[in-house]
Amino acid sequence: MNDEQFSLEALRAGDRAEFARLVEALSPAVYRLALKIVSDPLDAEDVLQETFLKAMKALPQFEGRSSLSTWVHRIAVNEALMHLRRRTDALQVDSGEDGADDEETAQMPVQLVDWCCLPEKELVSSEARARLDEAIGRLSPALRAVFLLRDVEGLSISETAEALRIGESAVKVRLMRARLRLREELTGYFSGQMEKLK
Amino acid sequence: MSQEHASCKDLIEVVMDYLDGDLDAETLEELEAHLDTCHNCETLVGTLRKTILLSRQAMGAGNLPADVRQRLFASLDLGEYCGDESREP
Repeated sequence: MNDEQFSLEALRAGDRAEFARLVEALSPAVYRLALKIVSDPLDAEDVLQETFLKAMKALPQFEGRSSLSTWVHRIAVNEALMHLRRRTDALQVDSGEDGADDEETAQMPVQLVDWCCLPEKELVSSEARARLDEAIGRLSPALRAVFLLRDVEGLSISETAEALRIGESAVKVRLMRARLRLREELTGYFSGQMEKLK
Repeated sequence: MSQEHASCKDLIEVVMDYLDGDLDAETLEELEAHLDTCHNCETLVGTLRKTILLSRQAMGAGNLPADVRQRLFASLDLGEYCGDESREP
């Protein structure tokens, strides 16, 4: 999506038809992102609705310093993280979020099995997908948000930094950790599949 | 990372920039020359690339469930713009 699709003037003026077009275009990505961060369909729906309610209210003040898409993603990530905080506060569990991951030592690749040659049906099987889902779910919220914005939703490094209000170097560090962890988990699974196929 | 190349672990950040298409010409040339001779780094790059691709394929697509979409438009008082897509198939 690019902003040229939409009339900022109309959106700022409260044009409901134009806002409905924006919701139509961005809501699938916002919902996917929310679902992956909060891991609960009802919470994800709350995040989705709150994101667009906030966007609707804030649009008259939107200055256009970032793209509309990045701006809406930023609202969505904040809402999703707030949901997580509320949940962890309620459970009185230390969320271990943001800063903790920046201080961890980067995980070096351990398994160097080349599983790229596996048949496509193995790579995209429902079992493989479930493993990937679980692995993403095990990432901390800080790593997960960066990975989802950059590698799944395709925002650039600078857009991801803007959406999360962190520096580009922090995005790169978190992205590296998330990618290495997921690769390691998939390597463990696909190595086993390669053994079975021998 | 590699028995043959003690410096491979120092290349991880460069590999990430490579995957993001964010390397200058000189570093790109050096990395590609290294990948031609280092099987471990070549495997790392290939499996990282595939990890990203599989994640994007698995999670980067899909429409909003019809009922969720309908409730979203209703919550924003945009029900009149919800249209036919709000109906269950």
